[in-house]
Amino acid sequence: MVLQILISGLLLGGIYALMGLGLSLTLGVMRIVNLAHGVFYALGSFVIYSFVVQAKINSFLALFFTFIIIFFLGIVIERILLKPVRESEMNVMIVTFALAIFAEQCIRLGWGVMYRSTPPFFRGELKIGQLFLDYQRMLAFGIGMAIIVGLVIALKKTKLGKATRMVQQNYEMAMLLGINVNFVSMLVYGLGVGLAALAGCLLAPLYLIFPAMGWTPLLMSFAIVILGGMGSIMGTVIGGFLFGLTTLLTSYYISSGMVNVVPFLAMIITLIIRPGGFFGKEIF
Amino acid sequence: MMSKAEVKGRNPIRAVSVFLLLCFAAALPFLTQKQYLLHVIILANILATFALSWDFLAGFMGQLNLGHSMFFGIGAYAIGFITMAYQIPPILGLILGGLIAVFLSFIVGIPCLRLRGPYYAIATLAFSQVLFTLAMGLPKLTGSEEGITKIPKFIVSIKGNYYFSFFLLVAAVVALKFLFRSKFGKRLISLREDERLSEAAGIDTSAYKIIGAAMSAFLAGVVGAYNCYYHGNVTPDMLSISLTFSVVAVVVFGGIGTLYGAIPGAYVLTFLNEYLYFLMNYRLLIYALVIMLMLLYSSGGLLGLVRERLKVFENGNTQSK
Repeated sequence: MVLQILISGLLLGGIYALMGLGLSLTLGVMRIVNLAHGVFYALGSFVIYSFVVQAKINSFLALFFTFIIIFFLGIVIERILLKPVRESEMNVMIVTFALAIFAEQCIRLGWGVMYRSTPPFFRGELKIGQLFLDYQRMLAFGIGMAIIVGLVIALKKTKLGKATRMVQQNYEMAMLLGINVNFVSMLVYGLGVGLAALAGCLLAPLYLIFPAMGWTPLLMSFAIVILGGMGSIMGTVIGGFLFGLTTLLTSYYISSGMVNVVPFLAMIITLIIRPGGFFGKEIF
Repeated sequence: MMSKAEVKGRNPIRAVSVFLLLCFAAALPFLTQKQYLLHVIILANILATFALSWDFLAGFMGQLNLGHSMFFGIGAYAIGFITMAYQIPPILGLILGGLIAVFLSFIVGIPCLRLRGPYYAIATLAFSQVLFTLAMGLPKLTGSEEGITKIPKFIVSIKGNYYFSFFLLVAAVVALKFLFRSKFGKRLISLREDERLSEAAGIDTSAYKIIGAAMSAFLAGVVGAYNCYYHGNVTPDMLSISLTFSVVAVVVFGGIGTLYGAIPGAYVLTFLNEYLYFLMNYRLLIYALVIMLMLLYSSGGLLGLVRERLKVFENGNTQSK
């Protein structure tokens, strides 16, 4: 049973890493504390629900469409809402907090408050001895990992990726060197919330869907980013796996209601011991 | 051109209008028979006082708290737990509610306020979620969604509550006003203006932030405890994100960092809430829209708009960031 939990935890951790990476990008590159990250996760789940259950589109196609929709939604929001207030960290936090509540209420009005679920992309499970691994979890893990690896390669090798890292390292210098900082920020925000939506799509068949579902993943992502160190992709991925494990362990041994407590404790302990995170550079 | 009286904040027109407003407020229970109106005003006063405590932290010290409802809620739950077991004098209860909130604020504040950056905002959001989960998830202790009911009221008549809620609000405003005139208060404000600079000027910024946050929590805890006495029950709603969000909306709408802004903000939003039932489902949606529009177009809020029109200058800290 322990092995079962460990493996399921690792598989879940892959998706958390995907979410954390989205947040880490917006936080690291744009220096925007995106409190609406969680609501895009919820939005991803609801949009794919509409595609798969209501419009009866193939799951993989729906995944792709959802990502595109949320990506462009993110870009529009960055232009209208975030660009004007970017100078003040506090205003950014208040605006994204308001955005999170706004979108949650829109979901509530648009889809209703019922608990829903979507069918899995693949049914069935793999049985190895005592272990049961359902295909959906493995698929979600596979897609998540593929996206993370693809993203890392894109950040390291492509021109746009290098520009993004430049903006992350030194905003003003990037501007001086002729990098279109606004354009990069816009894309990064779209990508960041798109990754949250993808995580929402991939986990939609495994958990119940409801309008307020985004807050726990939001805090989980912040905990991952703080634990891993801001701006460290490696730290984010490791943090993701760690939280995947602890989530499953707490929900199995204590109670699934207590999952919220884990990110908070981890956050506080990290901030006490090593405020810069365990894999990031020392920032204080 | 500002006269000396204006610079010192002793504008005679303003003093007279404040005096008249207070007289009107004092006379209102004798002018109207509508109990419901008084009830709504009490709610608005509670919300305004609570919002003041948030504005103190965010608007004056520059520390964003996104889980402020936890101080309010913990004060209320403290009263709930205590009155189940013991008989205590209500004033002691109010102070106790405040002290428990202070304790809570140390738990979150000490690790997070030492650091610059968004940590405090995130940690408070996370911790309020933890408390909300606990309140929902421990039905034997907290009564889950039902909460704790049948808490004895300490002022039974609605008129008494009306005056007491005004007393709390006015006391909070006066106390904060005096605080900001003192050296201690000016140092707190310097944290918002430039934290590094105030640190360089020899202010122990972490200690000031932690103490300031504790003061804000104390006020919130007292109001929460009073709210619990007034309603005679405690529910997990008093710990929820939507309550925090309402407070943010009240302050941003009224004008962040203006001290008085929270009062008109709380009144407008409470009256909208209580008299426009059909908007009930859209309440948070409207709050969110108001916040976003305010921050995009007028970060001074309602009071800022009024001030721009009247060109009234306040003593000191009128301008928010």
